[in-house]
Amino acid sequence: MFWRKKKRPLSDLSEEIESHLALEADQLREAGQGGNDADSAARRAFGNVTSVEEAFYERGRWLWIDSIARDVRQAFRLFRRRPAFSLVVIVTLALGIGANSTIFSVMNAVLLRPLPYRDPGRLAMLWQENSAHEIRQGRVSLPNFEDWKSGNHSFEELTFFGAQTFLLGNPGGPPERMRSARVSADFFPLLGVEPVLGRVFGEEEERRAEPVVVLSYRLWQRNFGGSPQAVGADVLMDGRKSRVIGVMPESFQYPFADTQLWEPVTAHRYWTTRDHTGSRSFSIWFTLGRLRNGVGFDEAQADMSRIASRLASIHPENRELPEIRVVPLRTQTTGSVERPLAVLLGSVFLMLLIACINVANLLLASGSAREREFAVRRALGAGRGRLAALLLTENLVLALAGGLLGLGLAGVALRGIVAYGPRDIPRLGEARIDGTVLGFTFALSVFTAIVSGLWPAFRTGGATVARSRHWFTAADRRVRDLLVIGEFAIALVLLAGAGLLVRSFALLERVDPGFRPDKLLIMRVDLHTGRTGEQQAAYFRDAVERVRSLPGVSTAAAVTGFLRSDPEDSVLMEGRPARQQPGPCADVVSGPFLETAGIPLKSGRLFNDDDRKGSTPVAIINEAMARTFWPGENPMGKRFRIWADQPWVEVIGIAGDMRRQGFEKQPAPQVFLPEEQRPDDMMDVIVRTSSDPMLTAAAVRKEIQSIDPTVAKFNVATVGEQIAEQSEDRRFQTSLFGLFSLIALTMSAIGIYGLMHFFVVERTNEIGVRMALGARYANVLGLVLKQGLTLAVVGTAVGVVAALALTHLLASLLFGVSPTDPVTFVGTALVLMAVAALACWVPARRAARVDPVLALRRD
Amino acid sequence: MPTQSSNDDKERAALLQGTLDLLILQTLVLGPRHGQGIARSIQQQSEDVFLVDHGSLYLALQRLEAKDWVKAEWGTSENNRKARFYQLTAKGRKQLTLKTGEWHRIVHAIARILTPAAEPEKG
Repeated sequence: MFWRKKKRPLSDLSEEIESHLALEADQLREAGQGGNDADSAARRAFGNVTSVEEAFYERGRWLWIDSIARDVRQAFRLFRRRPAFSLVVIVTLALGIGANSTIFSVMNAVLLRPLPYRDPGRLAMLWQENSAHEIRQGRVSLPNFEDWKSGNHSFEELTFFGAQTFLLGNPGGPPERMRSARVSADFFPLLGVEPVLGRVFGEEEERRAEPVVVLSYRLWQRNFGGSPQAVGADVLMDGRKSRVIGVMPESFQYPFADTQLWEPVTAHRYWTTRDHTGSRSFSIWFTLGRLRNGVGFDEAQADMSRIASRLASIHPENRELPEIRVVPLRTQTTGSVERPLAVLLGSVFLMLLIACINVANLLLASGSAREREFAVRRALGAGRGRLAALLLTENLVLALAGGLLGLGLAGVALRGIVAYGPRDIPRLGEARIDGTVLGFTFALSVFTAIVSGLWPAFRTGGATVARSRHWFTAADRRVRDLLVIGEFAIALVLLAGAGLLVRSFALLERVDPGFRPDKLLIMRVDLHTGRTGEQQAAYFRDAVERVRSLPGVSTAAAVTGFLRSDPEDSVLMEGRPARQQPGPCADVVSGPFLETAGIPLKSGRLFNDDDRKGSTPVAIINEAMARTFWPGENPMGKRFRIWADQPWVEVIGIAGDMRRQGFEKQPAPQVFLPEEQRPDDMMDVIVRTSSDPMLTAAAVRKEIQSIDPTVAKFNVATVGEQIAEQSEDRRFQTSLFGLFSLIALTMSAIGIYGLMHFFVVERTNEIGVRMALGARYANVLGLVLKQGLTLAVVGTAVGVVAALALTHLLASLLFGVSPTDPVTFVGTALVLMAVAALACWVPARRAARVDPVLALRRD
Repeated sequence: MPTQSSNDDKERAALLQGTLDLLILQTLVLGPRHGQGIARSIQQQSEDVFLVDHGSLYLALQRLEAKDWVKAEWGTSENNRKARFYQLTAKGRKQLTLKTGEWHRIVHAIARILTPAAEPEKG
């Protein structure tokens, strides 16, 4: 093997040839030829010694590798000779490449890496929908599910499952609230995931409703320290014992990231008390399916639509959700983040292009400083291609160094993003620098080297000694002008995009939520089942009273879900024949809710002590409800009914609108009902404090804990925090986009500064002559500024056109501004011009201060 | 006497590719030799039909050495000059048998084609 055997040195061959020639001459002399004749005859017989030596040298090597090795050595020498230049190039490229690698790593983890299930491309979730009423992704009832399962021809398997919260008993402490998944025995085989420890349950256990559970990896680690003894141990769920039979792998987090255990769907108390009804409108189950081999999602959709229309025609309950939607699991999991990530990747790529342009400019400038070197190389016989290869190799070394540094930056940035990024981006935690990212970064570095080095390399190939004094031709200047124009155009696109996002964010911050979110604490309290309605109502009445009497608390109340509420399926208005769809959001309140939340009462009255069990059922509605269901009428005293088994409810008051479903959405019609009349077991206790809410939080938690320690509570948080969490995605995206465009802006400024600086240095002579002939300070200043600003203006104009064409890609991410918002565009253009003026100002002043005598003497 | 000029090239039958290797190996059967000795031996044994370009001889030797068919070490010639001596390896010996057999088959086949008497007459 050639890498083990020492290569025979060329000198050894030369020696052998010498010996051959001597031997041959000896022999010729023996045969009678005279002294010198014999030597030259021997040489003639041998032929061309040098060509043999060359052939020997070239054998087993590739010459181009040889010359690349030389170019690489040369590049490293240059690095040592011009550390500042190299460092600027490397850092510029590192910023561009690092940003790309970071976003790509996220994309790789979230979108590209396959889901951790067997053959995940064939998995889909199925939903009931009503597109006319914009009801998306509704769940399904058991009777409907059975019909789907038996009627379809597209799915190999279909399974249903539910999500439930439960209280995990802790010996010697309050129970903990967690999420479980209630699944069928065919759930695990359908996904094709094996447990890391123990086993999953089978059909027999499901049928017998055995209390067995499969733990999540996280719960196993946390509560059992990862011990194999966990299998066979008991856990206490809602006060009942269940036996642990297995542990799922760490990557398995289906259906929800916080699912802590899986139990047979039949094992839950609800299965016999509540779930297993024959009602087709009791739609609480999720559906997951695996497509038959070779069946596409479109085919499956057509198949299910056929079933849907049949079911809707037979069963009237199905008309509320008459359609079935098949959603690939991939889309279901990460579909919502595809666009934002693609936009981010696009933006960092534009930023990288700006970096490339700056590097190209730097290389051109450095090319002029090395003109003599190139001319000499040319004169010594280096071909055009050879010189271009030299420059490209130099650039490649710089780009790879930049890539390496960029990878380091990406590593740091990723850790920050995983730690502080939005929590609801699925699989974000898996983002890391792996082989794919390494390959991407390498490819990007090579791309960068070629893009930024191509023109300078091509340029340099033509260097000749004669031309070396007039390095820059008109063509060069045009190219450099074009580069700066391109740079500004790209910067404008990025800035405009960032501007639109920032403006959306600002508009969103200014949205009137309809309530006062400051100094408001929120804590979810779950009584769970096992209490009568009276007991539930009494608990919350007591809790609210106790909290209100705490120091630092001005008022408190309770509501079912303060910041989140889903509309009811339908509502029936008294005196109208048909139910209207969809219905309003309906929430139960206890205590002075409107006052605590800071929602104004527009007309009518608040709930009082007379609104209790047995008295006339009453409701306070919001203005959106009044507008939607009683347009042009006074709703006071009108009656409606949401649930068929409940009595008519009378409207006694109208409250202001409150944006509870997120600030980006219009306020939904809303009904508030008193807890005394319609008790609920899970409510958010909200507390308005008179000072910093977090100072009171501990006291509130302790007070509620003291009422009944077995009741599970979520953490106390401020409403402000929870609202910030809602806009976390947007904040994350806007700040990243903003950061990228700021870097792009800085790079463009450096780019135009560099160009103008060079322009001034190159024309020092001419400026000297102009000044000697009477040009003033202002004239020279104007000359340089005009030159630079013309480029900036052209670049900005090109950028505006490009941005107008591109920003519609952002449309779905904007709030309250159109993708072509004139304010943003004009503002962005002005910012860019101001930066350009500033960047040109320094070289312009330098030009204006040229001493004509010195300038003319320079040559 | 062995001289070579570019004019002669065209008139002389080019050594078949790989033939030189075979000839070198054959020359070494009798014992180690240095390069110049190999060249001379090939010429003499072929009754001067083959004029070996000494330069390409060394490239061929290098090739054989890389394949481990021959090994070489520096020694002293009969007339006390320093020379590099080549020697067949076991691998080289096996190759020689193999290539010689191959060569004979080729020669036989070509001879049959070139000698119409051995072929059935066509009508």
